[in-house]
Amino acid sequence: MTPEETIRRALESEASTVDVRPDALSTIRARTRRRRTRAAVRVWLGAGMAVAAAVALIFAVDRPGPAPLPGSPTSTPTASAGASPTVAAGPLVAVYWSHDDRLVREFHRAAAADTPTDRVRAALALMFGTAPLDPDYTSAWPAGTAVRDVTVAGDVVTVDLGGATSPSALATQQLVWTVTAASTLPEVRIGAGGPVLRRAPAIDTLAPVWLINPQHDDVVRGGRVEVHVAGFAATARLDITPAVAGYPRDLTLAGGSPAQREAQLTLTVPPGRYTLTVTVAGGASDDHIVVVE
Amino acid sequence: MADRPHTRWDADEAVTHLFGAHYRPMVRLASLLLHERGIAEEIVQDGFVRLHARWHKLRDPDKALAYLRVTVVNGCRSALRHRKVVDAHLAASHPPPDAPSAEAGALALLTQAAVLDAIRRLPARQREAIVLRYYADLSEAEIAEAMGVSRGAVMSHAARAVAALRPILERLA
Repeated sequence: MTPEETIRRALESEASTVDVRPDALSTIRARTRRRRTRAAVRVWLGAGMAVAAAVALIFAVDRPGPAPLPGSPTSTPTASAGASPTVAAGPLVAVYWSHDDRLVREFHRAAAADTPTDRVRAALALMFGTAPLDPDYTSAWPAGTAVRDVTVAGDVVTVDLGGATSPSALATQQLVWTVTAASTLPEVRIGAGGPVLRRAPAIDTLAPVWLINPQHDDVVRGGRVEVHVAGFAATARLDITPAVAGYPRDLTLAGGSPAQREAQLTLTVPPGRYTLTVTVAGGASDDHIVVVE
Repeated sequence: MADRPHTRWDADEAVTHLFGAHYRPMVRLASLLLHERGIAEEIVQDGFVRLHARWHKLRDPDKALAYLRVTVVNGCRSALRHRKVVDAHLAASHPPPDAPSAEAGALALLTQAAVLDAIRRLPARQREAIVLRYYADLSEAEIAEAMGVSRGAVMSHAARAVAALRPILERLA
């Protein structure tokens, strides 16, 4: 391997461990809406001041004395700001689940967690203590598994499961992918004496395709559903029931990382309950129900 | 919306399209420059918000992508100047282990960890040149635009970075 290839592989390997928040586009949209509202307020205020100046001039000409103040313009921006989406409290934590012997990811709300140790505790509490949002997903770990302690030393997160051992390679990777996503550290041990574990290659571990957004049972207001698909293939088929004109349609997966590609689109539909199904060649699929209000 | 030519996209449509194609790679790029993921995502979101405001002037996905890169590189540079981030960066830069463990595949991972550690320790401009070249796969001209320097300066930063990395690369070869 040439030095350039070594650098390239090291950077790509590191970059591939970086997950992004599922609500990133919504966050950007909320900020651009706020910015637009502020701009509108500035225009409104500017116009208001011009009117006020004109009124003041008229009053100054017509009769001496103090000019009347224009009415408060703040009711309009307040009403506009009220249209911005409410951001739920608590950070989103990535939790990996099993789906057809591969891993898929969901984001769950957790209590505020500032340190890597707290984030890992929160993610594992969700992984061991709650059910996935999508009923098609499961945990590869047996019920009753519990975390006794989480410690971080250097790049290694040690998870004490009270002597419990992983029942399968997939369960091991479920824990490793969840812990590394939460800690942003690359290594994990199960028990103080356990071997150091890292993420197995994505192509061998993650589901061939999944719906990043919407998550199962999401409720979307305003009729616009942001659809975000991840997969390893070049294309994926998106179908919607009840039927929507133009679907099923083939999506081109691109960008993302060399290992996992993505597609994104905005679906505008009337209010209702829809099932979105994404499928790739070979038959692998993922479906989520979304309620549009 | 997907069928409209990009010249007719409004700012919301432009952000949606560019987000789908470039958001995650940009976060990863920022993360490599910073070694601090939470702030990396904030910086990239800032870039998209600025892009939204500027779309009426850009009107072109290629120009928009170049603009995003500039805002992300500048944002990372500013964040690194912040003492707290610098501290976190240094604290996260552990020296590589002395010897490979017996774990399967550990040698390759150890090599990657050592190379990443060496890249993190490069001066900011040299790290930018290396990450933009070998991770983002940009041309010299594109790197120069993203870094806001001349092509000659890019060559100089990259050459110094490779020279600084050479000992560790040779030792690992």
